[in-house]
Amino acid sequence: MTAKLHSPVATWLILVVATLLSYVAWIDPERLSPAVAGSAVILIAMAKAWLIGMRFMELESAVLPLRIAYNLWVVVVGAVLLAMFAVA
Amino acid sequence: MLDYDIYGIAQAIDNGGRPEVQPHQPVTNTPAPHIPGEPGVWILVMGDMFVFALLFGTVAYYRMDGPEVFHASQASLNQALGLTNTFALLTSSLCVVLGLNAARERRGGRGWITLAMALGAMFVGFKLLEYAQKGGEGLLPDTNMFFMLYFVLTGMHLGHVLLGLLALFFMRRAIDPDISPENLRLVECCAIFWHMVDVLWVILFAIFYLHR
Repeated sequence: MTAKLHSPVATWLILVVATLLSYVAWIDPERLSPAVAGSAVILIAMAKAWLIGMRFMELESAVLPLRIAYNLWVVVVGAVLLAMFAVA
Repeated sequence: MLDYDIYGIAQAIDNGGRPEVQPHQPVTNTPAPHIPGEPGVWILVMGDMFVFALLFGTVAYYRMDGPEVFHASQASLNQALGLTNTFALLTSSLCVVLGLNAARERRGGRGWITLAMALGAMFVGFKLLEYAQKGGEGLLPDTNMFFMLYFVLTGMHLGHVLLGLLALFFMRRAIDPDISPENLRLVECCAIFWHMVDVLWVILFAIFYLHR
């Protein structure tokens, strides 16, 4: 089961569904408050970036410093965007 | 028993007639921690991602200055085209993974890379169409700060897509049922670069097209 969830096609499906979810947040603004929808869009984008890195770029099985550098990039970019967009 | 070399290629280990599993030794097919591709490609990728991180911060900074302008300008973008381009790049990334896996297992894989290139070319076509649409509406880099940042960042990304397509061209040429370890490393490096292009677009799509 875990192997199936880690397969490239399963990863692609997760990415497609996540993309559709963030698109729904844009086309249906009444459903969520702008702040929640905006934060969700950023969080989904960062989760997708992380998933592409771990699965497609094979960082899951990479040496620790490389994984730390990539995870740090995802967390810092996500946190800065969330904070600055929230202030605006 | 299977083991993996630094390229992630499964290789049989000759146990010299001994039982395959030694007591207290965990059985695993997980590759040992390694550097995918070459260290050099990661310096390039991380450097590029750092520059784009600064540019994403720049977008957020100017958005704080005039959220109304950003909101109004964003409404004139073609979200459906952005969504289509996102699917194109995500699917091309999947094709690159499948092509790389086929190359590692000495099953070829050129077809997957050809498909990935076609999807990358589709992205370029749609992006140029979008630029033409915006130009036709008089929305240019000097219209306001939103469009300045939109054209600069998506233009830089488009340049990366074109470089990525070149990388995929070399990747396709290197793939062979008798691929050498050196060429396999080259193929891995090209794949990593293409996935980085995908990562950057995923964030550009969120901050320019979807974030209100």
